[in-house]
Amino acid sequence: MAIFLQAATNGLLLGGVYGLVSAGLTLIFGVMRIVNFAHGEFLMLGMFATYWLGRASGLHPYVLLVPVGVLMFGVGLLVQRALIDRVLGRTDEAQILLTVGLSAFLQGAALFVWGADYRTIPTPLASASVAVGPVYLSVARLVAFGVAVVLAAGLYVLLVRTDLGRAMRAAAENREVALLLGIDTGRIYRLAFGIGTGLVGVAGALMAPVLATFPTVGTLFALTAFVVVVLGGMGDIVGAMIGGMIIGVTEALIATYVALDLAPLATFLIFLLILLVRPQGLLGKGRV
Amino acid sequence: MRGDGSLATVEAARASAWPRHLRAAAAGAFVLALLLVPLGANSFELFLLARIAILTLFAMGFNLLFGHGGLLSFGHAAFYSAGAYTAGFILKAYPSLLLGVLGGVAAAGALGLVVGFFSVRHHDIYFAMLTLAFGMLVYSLVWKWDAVTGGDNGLIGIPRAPLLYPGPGGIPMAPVGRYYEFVVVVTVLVVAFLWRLLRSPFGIVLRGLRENAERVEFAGIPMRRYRLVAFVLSAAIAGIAGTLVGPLENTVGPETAHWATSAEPVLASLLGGASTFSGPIVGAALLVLIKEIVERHTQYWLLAMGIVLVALVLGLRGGVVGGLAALWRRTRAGVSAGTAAQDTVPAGSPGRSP
Repeated sequence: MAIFLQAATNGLLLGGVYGLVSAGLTLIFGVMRIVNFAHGEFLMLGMFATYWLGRASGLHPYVLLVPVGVLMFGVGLLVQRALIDRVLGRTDEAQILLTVGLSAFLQGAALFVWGADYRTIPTPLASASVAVGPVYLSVARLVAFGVAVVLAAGLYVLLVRTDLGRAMRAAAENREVALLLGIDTGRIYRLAFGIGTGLVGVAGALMAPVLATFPTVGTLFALTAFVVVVLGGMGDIVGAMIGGMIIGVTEALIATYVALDLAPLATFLIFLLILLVRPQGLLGKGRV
Repeated sequence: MRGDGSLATVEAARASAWPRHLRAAAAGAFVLALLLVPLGANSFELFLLARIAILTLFAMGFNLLFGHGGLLSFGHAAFYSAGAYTAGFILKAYPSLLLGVLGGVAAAGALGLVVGFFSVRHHDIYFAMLTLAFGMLVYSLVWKWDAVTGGDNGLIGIPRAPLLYPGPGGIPMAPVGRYYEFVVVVTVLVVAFLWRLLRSPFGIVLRGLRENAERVEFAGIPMRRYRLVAFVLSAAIAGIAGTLVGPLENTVGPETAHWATSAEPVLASLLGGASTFSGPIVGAALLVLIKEIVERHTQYWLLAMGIVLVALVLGLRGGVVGGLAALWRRTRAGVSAGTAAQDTVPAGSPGRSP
C-alpha cells in the first residue's frame, strides 16, 4: 500500500507539470487552431535558459522562474510574429510542417550550440524530501506541482474573468466576428502564443532542478502533452490539468507495477483509446 | 467517372505539352541510362544513386497518401523499418533477396493495415498525431526489444543475397553494380504501378477525397475504405524501400524507425512538389545530395533539415517541380497570350498547396 501511495503521489506531482506544459499547448490550439509541434523544444529552451542564467547569476532556479517565463514569453511573441502568423490562413499540413521544421531547427541548434551533454543544476533541493505519513514527497517536485497548479488556475481566471480572456475566447470562437467587434486578433494571437510559450518555459525552469537538461529533453514531454491535450479536450485548460495528472499517475503506476519501459506504451494506448472512443476529450467541451 | 473533374483537364494540359509516345520514349531512355550507369561509375556513386532510388520509393509511397490523398503521415518510418527488419531477418536466415523483399513488403503492409485501420477515420491534425504516435511506438519497440532487433546495434551482417536462392542459377547480387540495377528495376516497377494507379478511377477518387471528402462521400463512395486501401499501399511501398536498405548497407539500425526517418519522405515530397507525380523523385535526389553535403561537413543534419522545412513551407510552396511547371506555363501563356485559358489550371496541383 505504501508503495502504491508513493508511486501514485510521484505520478500526481509530475502530472501537474505535464498539465502545465499541456495548458500552454492547449491554449495555443484553442485560440489559434494550431498544434505546435515545437512545444517540447520551448520546454528545452526554458531548461537551458534556467541552467545558463543560473550559472551566470548564481541565483536559485526558483528565483529564475519569473525571468525565464518572461524571456520565453518574448520568444513566443517573436516566433508567432515571424513564422506562425504566415501560415495561419493555410492548410493544416502547412502549419504542422512549419512547427515540425521549427522543432527540428531548435533541437539541431541546441545540439550545435550546447552539445549533447546532460547538464544538471546542483541544488540541495534535488534530494530533499518531506514525509507525509508513509509517503515521501520530493520538495522540488512538490514545488513544481504547486507552481504548475497556481499558474494553470491563473490562466483559467485570466480567460474567464478578464477582458483579455474574453477577447481570446471570442477570437477562438469566431475570428471574423471578433474582428468586427473591434478585437485586434493579431495581438490576441501573439499574446496567446506568448503566454503558451511562457508557461512551458516556466515548466522547463521547474523541471531543471529535477531532470537533466539536454537538447532532446523536450521530445518526450511534447508527446505526452499531445496525449494530455487530446485527453482533456483540445483547447480545454481544466481538462489539460486533469489529463496531465491522469497520465502522470498512470505512467507512475505502470512503471512501478509492470515495467519501467512500458510507461510510454500505456500513454500511447490511452491516446489511441481516447481518439477512438471520445475524440472530443474527457470533459468534451473542446474550447478555450 | 473517368473524363470529368480536374484530372482530365490536367491530362489535357500535359498531353498538349508532351505527346504520349514522346513521354514514354523519354522515360524509357532515362531508365536505360540509369541501368547503364554501373559501366562508368565507382561504388560510392552507385551507393548514392541506390540511396536516391530507395528514398524515391519511400517518398512516392508516402506521397500517395499526402500529395494525392491529402493525409499527412508522420509515422511512415514504422513501415520502412518493418520492411527493413523483416527483410533482414529473412536474409540472415535464408539468403534469397526476392524472399526478403516479399516478406518485408508483407510485414509492412500488414502493419499498415493495423495502423491504417485506426488512423484513416481521423483527418488532418488527428491523423498526423496518431501516425506520429504509432511511429514512436514502433521506434520504442525496436529500441527496447533487444533480443530480437539487436537494440541499439540493430541487425548486423545482412548479406547482399542472390536474387532467387543460394547456389548456381540463383543470380548473385553481391557486386554493388548488380545490386544497384536491382534497386533501379524495383523502383521503376513501383513508379510505373503508381503512374497507372493514379490515373485509374481509384486515383481519381483519392484526389477527390483530398479536395472535398464530404462531396465524394455524398456520391456514395466509401471514404474510409478508399483511404485504408491507399494507406496499406503506401505502407507497403515504404516497406519495399525499407527492404532494400539492409542488403545495401549490410546493417539495419533502430534509427530507421525514428521520426527523423519519417520526416525524410515528407521533406523529399515537399522539396520536389507534393502535388505533382514526379515531385518526390526530384525531391529524393535533391535531398540525398543535400544530406550528403551537409553530413560531410557537419554533424548537424537536424539543424539543416529544420531550416529546409521552414523555408519550403514559407517560401517554395509548390516545390521544385511545381515551381518549374508554373514557370513553364507562364512562358507558354506569354507566347500564346489569352488562347490557352485552360492552362491556368495548375498542372497536377488543383488548388491545393502542401
